[in-house]
Amino acid sequence: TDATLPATSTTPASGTQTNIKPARVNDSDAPTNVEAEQMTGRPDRLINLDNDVDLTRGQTEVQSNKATYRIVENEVEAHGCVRMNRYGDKYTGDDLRLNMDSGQGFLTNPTYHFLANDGHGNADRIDFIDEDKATVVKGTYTTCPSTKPDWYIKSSTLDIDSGLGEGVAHNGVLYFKSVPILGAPSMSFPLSNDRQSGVLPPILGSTNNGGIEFNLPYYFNIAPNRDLTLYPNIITQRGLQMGADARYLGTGYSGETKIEFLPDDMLTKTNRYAVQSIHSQTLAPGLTMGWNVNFASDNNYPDDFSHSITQSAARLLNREFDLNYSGSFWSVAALASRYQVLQDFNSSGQPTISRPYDRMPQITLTAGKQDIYGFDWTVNAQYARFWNSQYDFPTVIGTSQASSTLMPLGGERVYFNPQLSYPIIRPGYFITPKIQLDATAYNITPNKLGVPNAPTVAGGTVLGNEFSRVLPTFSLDAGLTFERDTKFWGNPVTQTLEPRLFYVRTPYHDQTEYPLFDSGAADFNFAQIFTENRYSGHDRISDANQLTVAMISRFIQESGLERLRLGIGQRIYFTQPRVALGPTDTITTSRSDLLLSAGGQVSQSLGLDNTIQYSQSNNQWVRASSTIKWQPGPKKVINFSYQLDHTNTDPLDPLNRYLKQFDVSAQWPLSRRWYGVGRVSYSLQEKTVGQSLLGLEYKADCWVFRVVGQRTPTSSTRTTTGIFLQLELNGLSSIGSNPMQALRTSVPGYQNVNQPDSFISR
Amino acid sequence: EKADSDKPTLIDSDQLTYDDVKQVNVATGNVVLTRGTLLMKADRVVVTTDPSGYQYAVLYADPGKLATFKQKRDGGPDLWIDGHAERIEYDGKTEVTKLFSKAQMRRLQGDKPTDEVNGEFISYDSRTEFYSVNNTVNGNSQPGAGRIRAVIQPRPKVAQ
Amino acid sequence: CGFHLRTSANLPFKSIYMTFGATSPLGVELKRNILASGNTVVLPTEEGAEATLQVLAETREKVVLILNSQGRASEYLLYYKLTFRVLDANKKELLPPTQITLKRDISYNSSQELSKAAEEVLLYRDMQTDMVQQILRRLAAIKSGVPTQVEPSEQPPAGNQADQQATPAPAAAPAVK
Repeated sequence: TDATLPATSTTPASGTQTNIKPARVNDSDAPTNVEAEQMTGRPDRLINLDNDVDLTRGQTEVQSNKATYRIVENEVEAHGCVRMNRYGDKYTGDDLRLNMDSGQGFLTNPTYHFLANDGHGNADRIDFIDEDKATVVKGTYTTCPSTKPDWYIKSSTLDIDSGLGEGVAHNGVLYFKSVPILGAPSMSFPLSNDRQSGVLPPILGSTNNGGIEFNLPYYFNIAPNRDLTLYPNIITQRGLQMGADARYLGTGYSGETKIEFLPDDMLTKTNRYAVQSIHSQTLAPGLTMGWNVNFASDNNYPDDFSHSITQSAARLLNREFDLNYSGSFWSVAALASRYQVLQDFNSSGQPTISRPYDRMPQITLTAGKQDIYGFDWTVNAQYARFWNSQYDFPTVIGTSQASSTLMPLGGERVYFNPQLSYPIIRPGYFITPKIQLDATAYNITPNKLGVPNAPTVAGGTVLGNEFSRVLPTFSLDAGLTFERDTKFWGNPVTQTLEPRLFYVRTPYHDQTEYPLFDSGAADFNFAQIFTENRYSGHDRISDANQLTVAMISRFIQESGLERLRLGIGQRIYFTQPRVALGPTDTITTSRSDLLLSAGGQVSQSLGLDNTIQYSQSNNQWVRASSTIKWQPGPKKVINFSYQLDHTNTDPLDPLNRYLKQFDVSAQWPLSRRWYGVGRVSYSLQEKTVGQSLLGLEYKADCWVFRVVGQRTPTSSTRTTTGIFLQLELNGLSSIGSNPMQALRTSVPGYQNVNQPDSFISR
Repeated sequence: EKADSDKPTLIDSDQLTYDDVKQVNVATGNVVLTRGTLLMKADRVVVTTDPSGYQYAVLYADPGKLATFKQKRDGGPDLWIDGHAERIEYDGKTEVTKLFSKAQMRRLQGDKPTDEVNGEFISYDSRTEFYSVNNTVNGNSQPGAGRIRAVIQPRPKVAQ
Repeated sequence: CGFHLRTSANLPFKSIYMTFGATSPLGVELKRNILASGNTVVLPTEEGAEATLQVLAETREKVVLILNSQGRASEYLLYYKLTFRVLDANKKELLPPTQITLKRDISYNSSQELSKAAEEVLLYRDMQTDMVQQILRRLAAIKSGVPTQVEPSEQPPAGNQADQQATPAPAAAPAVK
């Protein structure tokens, strides 16, 4: 079966079924049931029916004062307060002629009400073309329940096609509160709830870097597994920006490509464009290829187009092509990746973003087999060729660090990392001894300043361009699982107590002169304290003679749902690790920071997540993250979040600012029809408000009005402020049109007020 | 069907009384009247013959029971018409059958009904095949006096 | 204080078939843990399996958690969601569609683009191990024959896709939605 795209702009989820609407088939051998108070006629030719006539055939029922039914032609003619129910659509009118076989006919002075989406209206006349199609002459159309609709379309002709579920109004005028707000030669709108081509709710806004802008998106439902959305956006100070978002999902391939293009921006006199394209495809069984390509026209693109597809948060745009082949127990992944840096110069003109190394190519082999006489073995091997144009010219940017040999112009690296473990897994305990070997070889091309890999530290070893390292590692991971039945806020739970020890022994190997292609200090968390190497990437393998001690306790409900998880863990260094990235990364104490965590979906509406990394030696919270999400009901959510992080400082940031930020975001109904949305992030360390957003949504019976004010820093020096209005007329725009992107990304748990209440918590 | 009009009328019943002067036969008790393909059954039947020889039959059913009639139709093999009512009047001259109260008439193809009509009063002219159905026993229609129901099967497609 | 070593974690059925792909890492690790948990056999095909674990959706997602004052993301949230249900031999639902959502946060700054990408792989693998334990707990909680009740908060959002931003993240490439 052909998979279909989900209703909204999320990228395609594979495997969903096509739900083809039951076609309106007229059952040609259905009997005609007739009721009246008087009936005369000739049974084979024609019968006349008088007062309180009710004629039903298949899914069409006609009621009227008088009616004539021609049996052979199977045609009914009704007069006097005609009421018709046809496939669920309800009509009233004065005079009706309808051929029950072909569905052709007309109805004068009709009103109509469509079952699919409660769209209704009245007109001078309806010409029925066949079972599905009809043409409404001088008719109105609205989905507002009341007889005095807040909005309606009045058009000379209205083509209704219930088969496609689409209506097209010709020379239509859209009235809102009886004020004409839009006239168009042709306006199409959906007649049913599933995906239809049609105009999406327009967005009117103004920003400080583009002035007033008007965006009228249009959605093409090309096929159940293919659609295209166009975003024509008129930005007064810049020009007409065309945006397009194409999604496709086929057997064996899927992807999404977004393009934004603004020809000769009036402010910068240049073309501004941005592309984001994701694609994955199965070429042959086991062989898949894909790409993830992003690029933009210039450095200021995220600033000037803040709600663009590149999201102001992303200034490193990756261009990556993948080719993967997976065999039964092994797989090879080849990729070529290069970054475009949208440089952000701070107030003193210094660049603040460092360019990552290109990987042209990187080929990784992973293989592994489980349970060979109890043993598991895995082999990870990789060849990578790195290159970084940032270190190509003498006037190298940034601090002195760039001139050192740690940042070569490029180089090749090969590593081979076999692992052998013997996991003993029992319900009550597990013991996993593991030995692994890491053999790495480099061949680097130094940058113009650096002598081929001369030591930075006096007396350091001279490595030259080619060097290698072989390091064995032994680790032992053991844990017990204790359980008991207890209560947690009244309901019975199983509480577990899981002590766990993790010993790692890796000899020391001086790597101070090794390049830093893709290595960095990993966050100290419950995933990292049970891994052998405290650095991610492969350029640094930290020496270790350490024991991690941890205790985790979980509260698990009868259904298996984990309500709460408490954790405490610390690493004891029998010998201090000597491998370090830089001066700030050395370990001087015999015990690591203490790691504490408590979190879980404590109740149906309350979710907590708190982790603290506490340094006993200088009695300081090194890193802390606390998020509380309270979602008592649909369209009601409050999120608190406090983030502290001394370790995540950007080397190129002269002020060496660290993260200490408090975030509140919420969606809350203010009254029966008014909903408030908001988010504020306040940096406690810099005493400044970061991102802030305030929105009001008014939900009437058949339309939703949104106004959102937003202030978002987009770079070290620039901030985008904007205000956006959106009028969403239910049933006029295709379902699933996402509300303003800002609302969804800024407030976790936000639900579109226009969607039916479905209670989910995340 | 047309050929019935020159067939003899046979009456079979428990009792039969015959008044020669007024040319009136009264049959009572499980009366079965046949004339060619026309077959009528009732509890009491009064048949009068007018001087020119046309016969008029009135069939009465005991309370709670129904008088029935069935006749073959022209225009095709195995086409029938049947009906029942509490009282049926058949006029041999005009060949009009009238059914009074709880009247039902059906046209059949073999034994499969193609059309069916129910009402308080049905009059059917078999010569012109014209019928009218009303919702009161006295042959006309009063608003709100009751519903007439009919079921019409679709005709096989006649080439327009 | 009442704690005892967990003795048995065996599942209420003797054999199970799982609709994971052959090379799916989650499927491989789950199979290994089921075999280790005692008396349940993992069958390669559906025939003869007392229970079938049907995977409905497995999505990974990366969402910006914190924007710092320079408008740069400094904290991401990685989601790993699995929606599955369990049917018995004659297709009766033992466990209605259940969604398990796991998340880990990861700090970020542009100078660590490649190392953070590698760290993401580590965090997803950690979530995978966690997911295996949670699935085993759910399977163990199935009373054979009695479909277990699932709390609304766990049900996959019926149709309300608007809130989910599932991006098929190819090999930890930081494609930010």
